[in-house]
Amino acid sequence: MPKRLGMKKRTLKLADIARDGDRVLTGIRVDDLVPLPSPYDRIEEQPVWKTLTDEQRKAFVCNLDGVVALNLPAGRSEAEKNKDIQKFISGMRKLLSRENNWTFLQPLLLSLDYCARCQTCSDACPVYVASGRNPLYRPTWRTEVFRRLVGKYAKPGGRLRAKLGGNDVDLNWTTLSRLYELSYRCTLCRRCAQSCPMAVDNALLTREMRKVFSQELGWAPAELHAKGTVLHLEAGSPSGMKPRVAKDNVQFIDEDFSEITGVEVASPWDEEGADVMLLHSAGEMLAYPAGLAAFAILCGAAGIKWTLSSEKLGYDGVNYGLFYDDIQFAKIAVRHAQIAKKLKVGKIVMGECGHQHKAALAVSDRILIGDLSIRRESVMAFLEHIVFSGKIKFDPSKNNFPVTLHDPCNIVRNLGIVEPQRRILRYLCPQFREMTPHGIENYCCGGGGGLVLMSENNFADWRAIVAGRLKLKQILEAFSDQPGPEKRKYVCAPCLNCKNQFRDIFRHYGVREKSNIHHGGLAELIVNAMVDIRQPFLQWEEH
Amino acid sequence: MTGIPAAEKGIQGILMSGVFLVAFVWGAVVVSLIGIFWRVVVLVRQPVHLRWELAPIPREKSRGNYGGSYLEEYEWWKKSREQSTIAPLIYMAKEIFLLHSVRMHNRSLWPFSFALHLGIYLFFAALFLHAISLPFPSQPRTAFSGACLDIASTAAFCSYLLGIAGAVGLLLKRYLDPELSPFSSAGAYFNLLLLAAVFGSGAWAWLYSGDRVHEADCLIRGFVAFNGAPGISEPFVVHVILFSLFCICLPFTNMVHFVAKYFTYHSVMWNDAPLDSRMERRLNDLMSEPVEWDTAGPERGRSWAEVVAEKAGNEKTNP
Repeated sequence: MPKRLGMKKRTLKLADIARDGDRVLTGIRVDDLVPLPSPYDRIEEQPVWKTLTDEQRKAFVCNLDGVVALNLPAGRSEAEKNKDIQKFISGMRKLLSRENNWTFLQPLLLSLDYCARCQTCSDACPVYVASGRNPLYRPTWRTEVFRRLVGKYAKPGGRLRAKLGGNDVDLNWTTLSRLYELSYRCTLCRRCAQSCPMAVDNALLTREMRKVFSQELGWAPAELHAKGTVLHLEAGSPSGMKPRVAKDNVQFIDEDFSEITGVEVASPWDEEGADVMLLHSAGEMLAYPAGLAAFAILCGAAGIKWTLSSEKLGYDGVNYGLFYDDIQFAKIAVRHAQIAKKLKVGKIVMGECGHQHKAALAVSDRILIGDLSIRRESVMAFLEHIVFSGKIKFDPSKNNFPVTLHDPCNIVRNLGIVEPQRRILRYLCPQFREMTPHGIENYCCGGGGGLVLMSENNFADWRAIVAGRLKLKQILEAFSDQPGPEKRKYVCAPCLNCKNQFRDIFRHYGVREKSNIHHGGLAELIVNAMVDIRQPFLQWEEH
Repeated sequence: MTGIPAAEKGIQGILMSGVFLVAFVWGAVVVSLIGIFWRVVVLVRQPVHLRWELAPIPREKSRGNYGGSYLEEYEWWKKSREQSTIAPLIYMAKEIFLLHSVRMHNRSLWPFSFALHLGIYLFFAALFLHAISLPFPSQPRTAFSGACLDIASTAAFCSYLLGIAGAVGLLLKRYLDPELSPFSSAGAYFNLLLLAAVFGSGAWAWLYSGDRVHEADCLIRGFVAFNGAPGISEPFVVHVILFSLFCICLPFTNMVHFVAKYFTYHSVMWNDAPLDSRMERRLNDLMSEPVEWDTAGPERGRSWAEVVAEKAGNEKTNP
């Protein structure tokens, strides 16, 4: 593993963001990272961190931290650069306008204007702490740069005030390109906002930056936009899966698990007037089919009148717009509601997907007005109701292995859905134990804010090594009584993006082999404890 | 040491000729109140925004203690929401008076920040005690007004000591701590210097004055009666002028952050209010606002409602 990606600076002036645009602003030193427990503490045994190739350096702007996530093309002409800068200025002005940004204007102004710069939030940030307190990743660094740019270039009299107040942060192409890349070094987990005495929200400001890039300059990570929301709206799913393929996949899963479990697994499609429309992530069909089968088994056993939708978007409950773009976000939220309305279902139940929970239960609540208003519920409350309804018999001894729970930020910290999943696990998993910290103070998996979808160049390594570091540490510590590979252990992660991040971290460090730690959803654990399922439902296979 | 007749000293004479000082102090108070009111109005008038709540929301009865919300309920819309009035007050009181978040997450800053804020609170508590003693005669004092003024004097002195310690401590920390200095603007240093000067002058006046209780009482009665402050000592005049400057600066600097605290908590972090008809009307108006974002589609200027309902295919992709 290379010892460093560039040279790390101990201090970083805000004005540095505009200087030396051909160089990396600061590097990451592996020695500085928060140490992991044994056997992951020996740097020489850790997997290689990819460095950028000469071709990548030539093709893309690489001037932040030695990592490139966004593939911003290098070699733009001066005219193009000037145009980008002007657009960024006009975008910042639009952010401050009622008509263009009523969606988040008040929270934005509060976080822009009232930060005390006390740095109380810094140590709440898992990325900053894991990196060995690299000043670039301090939650306030990027937002203070942005705050000063808004003050200087988007507010009346800004340049004069900047001169008088010593605001020396300049907006040039270097600033722009670095700020774009830096806005995707935050997982939007909002631990910083939670610790802030003023409730100033750096994650919100980071998302507002992403909005300017996306909504005004048309810059967004391909995984979130072109291959994300655009594909979602056009094909029906960011995976590109069309309705017919989705139905075929689920039918295949049903048949497969009917055979495995010995009970009939049948997922109904497009049942008009059903009590429940289940809105899974289509990614589950591809990567975690047992989760989908588990829901079909539970709904069937509990006698619930439920359905899936085969309409475009109706079978993929994700909304990547939440990460970077209000317009794309609203389009997808509206389409989901329209589909449920058309099916005349009683309610939508969100699948095990954190960001979709937040998008559908809270953020879109003030978009889904009038005819679009439809009841929406968390899968955690839904599963708890099923488990404790008395309609299904359970044998907790079938789950007698160490289990810990990951709290997806968007379900727990952002929505306050903390206990239903815990009540289930305390009942069904005799060896359930909590991580430290947990609940609303949990650490992000490291893939939040859309980062898990992005793996270009060496970004997947950054996600595993830096962003997911504290999460891995606390998982290992939760199982510290049985650290070796002798005993199988389970991390319950009721969120597709978190599961995908765990898949990447575990692969990166060889966690399955060294520690025998596996990950999966909540529904699978519940079905595994069902008396009527004779064979073990959990397959413990790699996803 | 007793007060010096106003007319006997140069600058003091001019300042305390009556009209100027009274006008300056009241002018500063009015500027401050108007400025703070304007800040509040700006925030109140912002449009309703999308929900962006963050746990814990302490008013959730029986759940607030662990950060739970009504969304934990199966079919939550069928249940009445049990809310606590007292829990948010306790939460905010801990935040405002003990700076709980700073204490938990920024231990090295907390002693200075706590001292400064406590100094400010005690200063205003002293002013309040003076205010409630006003209806009672100055001489001879009643038992009640005497007690109020004695406590006010002690509170004022404590506030000066705490304020000096806090402001100077923060000033040094901001300048010397590499975690803070890159983020510290000229404005931040100015605010702390001003606060240190206000508290420093207060301590000077308190120590300089012979009958500080009486002098402070006379000063406040004089301002309330709009007849100046005859007979007060020079340090008190300096203190009053610096405090007036603080009042003038308050709404235009980051010192006014207390105004935002209500909104960041109640309008954003704890705002999980479900839709009602009034909000729906306001949202309908907002959805008809024109969207001017460059990537909103080929026909910029269409309403949010139109843009959101459009078919796929108009989105721009990366450069």
